[in-house]
Amino acid sequence: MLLARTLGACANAAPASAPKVVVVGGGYGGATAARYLRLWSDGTIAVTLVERDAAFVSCPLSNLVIGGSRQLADISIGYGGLEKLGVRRIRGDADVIDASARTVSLAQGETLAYDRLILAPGVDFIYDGIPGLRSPAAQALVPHAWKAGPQTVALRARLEAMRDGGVFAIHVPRVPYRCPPGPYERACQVANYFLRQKPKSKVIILDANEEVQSKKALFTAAWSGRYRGYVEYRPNSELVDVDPAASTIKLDFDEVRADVINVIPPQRAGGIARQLGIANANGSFCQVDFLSYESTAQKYVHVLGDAIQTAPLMPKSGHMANQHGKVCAAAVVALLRDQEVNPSPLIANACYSYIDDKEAAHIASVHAYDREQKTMLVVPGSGGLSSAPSIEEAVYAEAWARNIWFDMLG
Amino acid sequence: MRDRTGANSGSLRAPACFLLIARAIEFDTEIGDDAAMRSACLPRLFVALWGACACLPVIAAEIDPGRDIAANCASCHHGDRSTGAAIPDLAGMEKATIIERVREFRDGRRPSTIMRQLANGYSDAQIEAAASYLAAQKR
Repeated sequence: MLLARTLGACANAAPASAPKVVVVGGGYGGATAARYLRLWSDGTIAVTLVERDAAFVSCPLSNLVIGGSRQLADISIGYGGLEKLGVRRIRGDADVIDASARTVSLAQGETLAYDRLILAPGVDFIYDGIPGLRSPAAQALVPHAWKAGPQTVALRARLEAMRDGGVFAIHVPRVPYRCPPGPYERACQVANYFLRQKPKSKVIILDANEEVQSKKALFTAAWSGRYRGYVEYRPNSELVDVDPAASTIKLDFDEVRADVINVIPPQRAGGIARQLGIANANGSFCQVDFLSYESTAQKYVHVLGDAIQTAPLMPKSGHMANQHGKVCAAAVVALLRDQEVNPSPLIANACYSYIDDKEAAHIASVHAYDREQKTMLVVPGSGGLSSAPSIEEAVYAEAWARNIWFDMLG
Repeated sequence: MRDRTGANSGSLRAPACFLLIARAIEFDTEIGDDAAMRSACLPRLFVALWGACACLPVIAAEIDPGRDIAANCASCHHGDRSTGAAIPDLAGMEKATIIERVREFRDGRRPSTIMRQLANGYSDAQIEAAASYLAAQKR
């Protein structure tokens, strides 16, 4: 905001000789990087943002759309604020990266040259281990709703169409996946909807993991408290297959038929990063230098957000991606000016989950760069959980969303 | 630069240009022991001169050390004032007030939900650096 105001007249003033940064992906990581590159370079870096969608739709808060207390429009924001700041936005798909020529070719035809490339492609879903969902037609029958947008609306529509007395089954993949508390928050939102509108209905959480992966005490308290009788939690529920036609999730030793099934598939870094060969952590996620978020496999290419291989205890969250974006932007501005990169970056996480439509709870942490281990470590004594969900924290959660959306999109 | 460049599109005044060139030279002198770095002096000076002459405000070699720490705060604390003041905007707030509030949160003297847990992640020096930076921002 501060800069948006002061930058004013020179917003579009990056000359033709200006250093060029291309950002692929306009989510929490990519949009933040694009905005802060303009702010911290005082408009002297030419920033191009390549984004497939017409508007940003937030994954955080999207479970409220599924629960029925928000509309998709409430969590959607255009890219006009970034454009006003001089970011050139191209609606399209990055198709081929030539790392030696330092160019990105778009599926739509244009080729963009870069001095530094920032990839914030989010995650792709892995359907290899789910034979019944390999075809796009089958996938369309079982919305993941793990990228906010049409999928979110589709899942909500199914819940609305479901009879009272029905069952909603959600499958949680093994970690690491995007947004560790998200599946459990979703279960709470659907349970809250059932409690109010379809009281004979039930939620079954099938978790491939051995326990709740985030905010465990808060979620289990809600399921045994306000949602007693509405939520059943089954750990160690490894998914073997899905039968979309029969609306059935097949587990190792069991099958669960439900009226609405929601399978969150396993995930890996977005395709453009894997195609470039920089998903060098198990072929799934991208290892980066936490001082600059530059890929350890490809010079001049940086990776942000859910696509990176995080340090332990660094969750794949929107807030974290926003923080990656700023550390990366600061480093890229410095590198393009031949200056030293901040040798001791600090990042924080603040993550709210709504327990119903009026109460929320948080988890937080602060992470500092450790020069010896060359990784991010939680600062001892920092971080923690809410003691209980509250209306007060839902007010903060809403303010958090408004402010971070502004922080990334202007 | 955020707080210093109110009229950002304009050019640097001449004394500012000279100061920046002087700084660039000083910087090179400090690192002059290393032969490789020495050889980089000339291009560095050239860049500084070119930048100054082109009057681009890009060559401020000194980045406020509080900037990157304050950026952590910005995720929640700056922004869209139209949505009310549940989370206060820290821009332009008195430096001493910011420091005192964060310390109160950290020590548990001021009740909080999330702020004690976050404040515990920062040293006194880091809090002070962020507070200095934030206090210098325009509201």
